[in-house]
Order: sequence, then C-alpha cells, then structure tokens
Amino acid sequence: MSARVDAPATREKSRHPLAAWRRHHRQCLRGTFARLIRRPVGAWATILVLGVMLSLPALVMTLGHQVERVGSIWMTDAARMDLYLVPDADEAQRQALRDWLDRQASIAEYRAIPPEAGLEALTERLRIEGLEAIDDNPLPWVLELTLVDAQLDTRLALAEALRERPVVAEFSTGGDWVERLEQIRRFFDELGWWLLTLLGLTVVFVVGNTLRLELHERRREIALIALIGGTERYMLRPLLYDGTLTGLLGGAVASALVGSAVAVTAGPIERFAASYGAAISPQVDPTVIGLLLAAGAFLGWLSAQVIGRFYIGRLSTP
Amino acid sequence: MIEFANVSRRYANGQFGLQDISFRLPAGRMAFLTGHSGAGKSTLLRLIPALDRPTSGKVLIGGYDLARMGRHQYPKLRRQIGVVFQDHHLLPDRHVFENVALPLQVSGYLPGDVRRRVDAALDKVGLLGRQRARIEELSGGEQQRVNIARALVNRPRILLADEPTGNLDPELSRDIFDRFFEFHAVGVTVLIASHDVDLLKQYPVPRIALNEGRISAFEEADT
Repeated sequence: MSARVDAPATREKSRHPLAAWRRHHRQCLRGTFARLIRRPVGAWATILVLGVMLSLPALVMTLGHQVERVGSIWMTDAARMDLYLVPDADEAQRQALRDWLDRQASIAEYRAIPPEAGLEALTERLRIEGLEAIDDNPLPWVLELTLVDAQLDTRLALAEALRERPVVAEFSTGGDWVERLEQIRRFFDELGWWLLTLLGLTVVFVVGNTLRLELHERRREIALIALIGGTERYMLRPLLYDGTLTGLLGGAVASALVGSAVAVTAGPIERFAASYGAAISPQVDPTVIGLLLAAGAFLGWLSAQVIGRFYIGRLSTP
Repeated sequence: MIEFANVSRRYANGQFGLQDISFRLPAGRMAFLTGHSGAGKSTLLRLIPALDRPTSGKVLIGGYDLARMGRHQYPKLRRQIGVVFQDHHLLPDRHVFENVALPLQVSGYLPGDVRRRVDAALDKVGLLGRQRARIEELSGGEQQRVNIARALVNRPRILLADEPTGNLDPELSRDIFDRFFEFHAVGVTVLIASHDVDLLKQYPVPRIALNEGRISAFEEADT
C-alpha cells in the first residue's frame, strides 16, 4: 500500500510473517477442536447428518463393488468361447482355421474336440448308454478357445471376425450374464457418483448453514479484527479449519456407516456365494473410504470458503 | 495528516449523515469533534479507517485518497489507526491480556514481543496487574482503559476515540483524557469525538463542531 500516515515511525521489526502464519494455523486447529468439545451436541449433530448423507452414495458404490466381485467368480467363463464348425468341414478347412486362430493376438490357446470325443463326453455327462453305437455322429468339430482377457471389446471383435469365417457354423460368446453384471456394476457406479454430487451439494449447504450460525455468533469479534487490521484470510482461516474438520469427521462417520452395513450383509452374501461354490467375504473398498474422507474434507472446506468469503466480506468492508 | 475535502455521506433512505465536510488535521495534532447525539461525529470517524465510504468528496490519510484504495489495502491502513469506542468492543470470553494482544497477533508479532508490548500498554493505562482478569470482572473505567491499551499497543500513528468517556464519572473521564494527551505528546495524531462540552473546555485543543452533519464551527485552541 502506498498510503503513508505522516507520524513518527515507531514500528519495530519484530514481525515474522511465516512464523506468524504457522502460529495462526496452529491456533486455528486448536480452536477448532476446542469448539468441537465446547459444543459437542450441535457440532456432532451436523457431523452425523453429513455422515448419513455421504454414506448413501458410498453404499451404492459399495454395492456395485460387491456385484463386481460376484461377477469375478465366473470371469473365467467370460474369457472362453466355443466354436462349432460346419458338419462337412474337411481337414484342410480345419487347418486353415487353426492357422488363422494362431495369428489372433486375443486368443491365448485353443483345444480341438473331434465329434467322437464330443459324443463320448456327452454320453458320459447324460449317462445314456448306446449313444456311442450311433453310426452317423451328428456332432460337429468343436474348438474351445481361451481368450487373453475377458473384456467385452475383445470378445465382440473376435465374434465379428469369426462371422466372416464360413467354416464356423456357430459360436458361443460365453459370459453374457457376466457382461450384464458388469452393466449393473456400471449403473451402481454412475448412480453413486450422481448421488455423491447431489448430496455433496446438500453437504455444502448444511455445513455452510452451521458455519453461518458460527459466524453470526462471532460477528463482533470479526468486526473487531477487521477494525484492527486483520486480513480477510486471517478471519477466514478459523472457519476453514472448522469446515474441513467437520467434513472430514462426516466422511469418517460415513465410512463407519458403510462398514457397518457391509458387516451386517456379509453373512447373506457369503451364503449366496457359497451356494455357487465360491468364497466371497464382502468388504468396503478402501478407495471408497478414501473418497469419503477426501470428499467430506473438500466439501467442508468449500462451504467455509463460500460462506466465509461472503459474510466476512460484508462484516469487514464498507 | 487527516484531510476531508467536501465529504458527504448519504444513507439509503436519502438522509445525510454528513454534508460537505472539509477540514485538515496535520500529523501529530489533536482535535475534538463536538456536537449533540446524531450530529455525525461517529459517521465521520468511521470514514477514517475505511469502515464506511463517503457518497461524495475525498478522505485523505497522509495525502492518500481512500477512495483509490483496494479492499486488500484496508488492513494495512487500519493497523496504523487505533480506535477507542464508547462501548469498549472488548471480547468478553477472553481475559485482559488476550484482548490487548489481539492487534499484535493480527499483525504477526512474535509471542515475546507481544508479551512485552502488552505489558507496556497495560502499564501505561494502570492495569499491569490485571492481565489475567476476565472482562466482566472489570469496572467500566477499567474496561475503557483496556480499550485504550488495545488501541495503542500497535503504536498507531492516528488515534480515534468515539465518546470514550460516555459512561464514566468526571474524575475517570479526566483521567482518560489525560492519557490521550500523553499519547498526543509523543506525536500521535488524535481525534476525539465527545459531546461533553464541560470536559472539553478543560483542554487547549481545537474543536470541530458538527450540527446535523455539517460543520457549524471550527474553534481554535484556547490559549
């Protein structure tokens, strides 16, 4: 500032901006904890409301995560594909197909099953005697493919290429319902993010309203600090700590709620998985916990920024 | 130096708080602002630390026009101005030391310097032994002295006081004014608003008389 007041210069050079800045941060942090202890009911009521709101999208995301885990049990099926050749395919055609399959990067390996072996396996599976006596074996040559991955794109690309091979009469893409599960998981994921955005906005208003009341109580102090030369950042800092800590604790409560919900539903999910011969132990994705804590802290900080700048600006400037 | 050049302050309801005020208070000088309640004394004082803005005219502090100052520059201006109010503006949930230390903490002074300066300021107003006292434990006169200590602890170049003796008995009022004189004697520019004519007559200080937002008289100091 270039404004000078022409009176005797008596100011000491004993100010250290960085040390003062650190000291004020420490004071603000201590003050935030002190306010939390001083007004436990009001503060924790807000934190609990945040926890419930943030837990809703997290529960949806966790549900999606469980669906993904269930789908992963059968993921090996999704990485397989069976090719049924035309009945009159001769050795040259079969060899040409094998050569073509060898060149496909998406195929890890394959196994050829001749009609005789197929009939034998069918006889054994269906336990029908006399099938082997059939002179004219109706079963075609079958090739069991194992793909390098179970991605939908890989399977769709291979299916398209196979349709152009006349020697291939039919093929099963396998894992169709795994694909459906993947779609369900994506739906839950998108729903979770949508809810997080919507409820996040609500969190901003809830925390903002709590902070507005806090500011109203401290309006004399803020006006006084403005009068004695406090900057807006100085006045805003305690509020940022309040908002961030409230949001962070709200995220922690949400994590605990999601953890409890998963613990309660663990039994039924484990029994369901066991009925399919799989072992699944449901758990909260650590990413979801991290997301909840980060989202809570960020939303609290954002509320403090929005409300603080608005009200402090009004209280401290003409 | 404090200079007002054709300053008017009109409120949203159309009424004037101040009308065409012009005066100049050189650096290191002292003046009284007199007038009955509602004459515009507080409105005028609020313009100096940029707590309010004039509707027209210029307020210059040290030759610098406050209208050209950005809001981020207000803190630096305000750190050079000490303000004493009638109703103290003390924080009741903090003790004496914390109230007086506030301007130094805001300005980023080291804790050791804060302690030394607060003790010195409290010593000047006769409250050195009351650092740990709660505000509600103090009498009206003591609270006003804490208020003065807080206004002076940052060694301001300008001291403004708005009815600083409004609730005090004559003896205490005289004591408070004597202290303002001591600060004026060391070069601080002092502007005191008061309607206590009998008290003001005891001091050889120029008087700016306000009436309905206008300067009605400018009286030089009686010698």
